[in-house]
Amino acid sequence: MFPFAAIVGQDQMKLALSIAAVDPSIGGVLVFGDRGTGKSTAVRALAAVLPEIEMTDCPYHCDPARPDEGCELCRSRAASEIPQKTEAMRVPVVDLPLGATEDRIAGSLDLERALSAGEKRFEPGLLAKAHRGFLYIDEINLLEDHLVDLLLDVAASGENVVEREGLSVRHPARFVLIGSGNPEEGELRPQLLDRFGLSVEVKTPQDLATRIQVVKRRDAFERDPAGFAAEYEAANAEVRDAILAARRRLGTVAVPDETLEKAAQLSIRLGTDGLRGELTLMRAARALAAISGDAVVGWSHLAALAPLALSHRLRRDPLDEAGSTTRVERAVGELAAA
Amino acid sequence: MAPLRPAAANDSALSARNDSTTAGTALWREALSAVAVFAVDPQIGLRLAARAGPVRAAALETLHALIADDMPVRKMPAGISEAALLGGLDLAASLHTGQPVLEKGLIADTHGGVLIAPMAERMTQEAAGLVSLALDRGHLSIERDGMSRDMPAQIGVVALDEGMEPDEAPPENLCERLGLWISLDGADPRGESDGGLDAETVVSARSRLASVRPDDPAIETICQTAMAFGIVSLRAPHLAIRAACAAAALGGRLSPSPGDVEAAIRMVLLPRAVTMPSMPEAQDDAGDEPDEDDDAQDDEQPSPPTMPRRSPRRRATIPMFSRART
Ligand SMILES: [Zn+2]
Repeated sequence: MFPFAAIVGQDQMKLALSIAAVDPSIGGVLVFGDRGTGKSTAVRALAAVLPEIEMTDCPYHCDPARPDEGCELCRSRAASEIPQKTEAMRVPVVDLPLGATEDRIAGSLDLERALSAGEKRFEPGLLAKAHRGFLYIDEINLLEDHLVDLLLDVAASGENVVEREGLSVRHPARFVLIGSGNPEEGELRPQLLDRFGLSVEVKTPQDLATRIQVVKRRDAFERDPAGFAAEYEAANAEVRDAILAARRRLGTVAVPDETLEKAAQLSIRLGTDGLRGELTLMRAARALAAISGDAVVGWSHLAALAPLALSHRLRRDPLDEAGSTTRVERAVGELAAA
Repeated sequence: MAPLRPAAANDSALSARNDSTTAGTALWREALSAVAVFAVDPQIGLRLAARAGPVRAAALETLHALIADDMPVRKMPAGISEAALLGGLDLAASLHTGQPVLEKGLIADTHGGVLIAPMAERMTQEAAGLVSLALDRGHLSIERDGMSRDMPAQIGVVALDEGMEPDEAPPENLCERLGLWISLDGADPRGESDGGLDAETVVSARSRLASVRPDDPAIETICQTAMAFGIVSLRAPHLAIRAACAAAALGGRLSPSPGDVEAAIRMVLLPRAVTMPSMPEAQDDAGDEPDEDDDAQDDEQPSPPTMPRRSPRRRATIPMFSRART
């Protein structure tokens, strides 16, 4: 796997992914943009810099510290005070490949058991695998609508309910949904856009030196993947430590009222609907403060994250030709001057 | 005369009498070298624009002759279903053995070989997306019919582009990942059908390929040229470098020579060019190109003197291809 630390540039994409790693509650990341910019490489590379978490030995690797959020088995064990076996695992990053069928996404009848023993048992799907981690869909605009709806529903509720093949199962499925795609292959439905917490527009680097560096690293990686990955192991470990440290700090970061007010003013100025944008902006800003080692969330954090948290929530303004990111940046500038 | 003949060394010799036989032969040779490069490193990918006919048949015959005997070669019908590409549950075998048995799909079945897609302009974006996934990752994750499997899928793809109109092209997400873009328009295989290439040359080139390394000037020239051509994606220069390495391996070199780099630029970058940097911006219909334009640009590769100038368009960024059909 291409090392996260070896990705040249693409700072916004790396920032959005790091923020989601620090605070999974920001609600998903959408990465849209030019072909050949390494969108999927970056998401897949993320897996290697994620910290380890404690998990129970149930099929859903629940959090031993939060039995109330666990699956049925974990809850009943907790209720009768049966000690849980736990072990550490890397935060999962699950790839949802194009062509995956609903039964494998949501989980379905365990075919092997059914065939060999005539037994009716639930075989957890990709949603279960992604619990407490990330679920990644490349080319999200090519995914069938009913599957996108299913994913967004589960991502929002944190629970997967399966009623099929005579099975009736529900289990926790809290994950960060990451979607990537190319707008030329079809726009994402607007009502889906604002269900993602952050959105990033990726562009191919325009300067020659950076382009050469990207191509050289990719060539070196393809030639000797293991050797290349080894070269960046230390740098990857640094990213991982930073994410872990930020996770620990997150709860202690203060959010002053004036920052909350600024976030609200920004949303009003941009006319973004609902509270979701404002809330995401605050959460993401807090995660950024934690990453930067700042004790208090300030204007600089808001300003840096406003384009990621708000630009995909803007209504199309027929009188404004500027792109949504530009509009957000403009509003940030105006508010800073005010 | 052939509008997009690559800037061949013998251009001036051709211009006087507009000898179409010789021009056709040069085009054919160019196509053959692309086929040979593909045969050495199939994962570079090939988009071959040509109508079905004897010329295309000759090109495919050469391809078959050059790739290894043990390489699977499979055809991908234009209307193929997702299930056929990816595979799925083999119900009969599963019931028989009492174990879920996966019937391999076309992509995994082509592992280590070449997938040929006739009428690629009719391929759906979804099918192209699945093939692209295999090209990107070299393996396929199957999550279907209650089964979860991971299978190797290192494939070389040949898209036979039979589109007649500029907007009839194979899906862009696939084209983007196919390095070599060759048009057989005007190519004439009479006289030298195989170009003196044989499977043995290709086999020894393939064994040399792992030790071929591009030096920094080669990488820089390719990146610079891609940028000057207005090519946004970084996949194109990446694939061009692979093509230069394969060309070097064919020539018995351990590092691409300037000639290998130039060949890669012609076969990978030039057909994708959106802008022509070596020429001043001028009106399309001016039609008064200077006959000799060889002062400053000559030492700059590549300067395609006969490239038609057209305004960059969003979709048809393939002047070589679209021009050939208008
Ligand atoms: Zn559990």
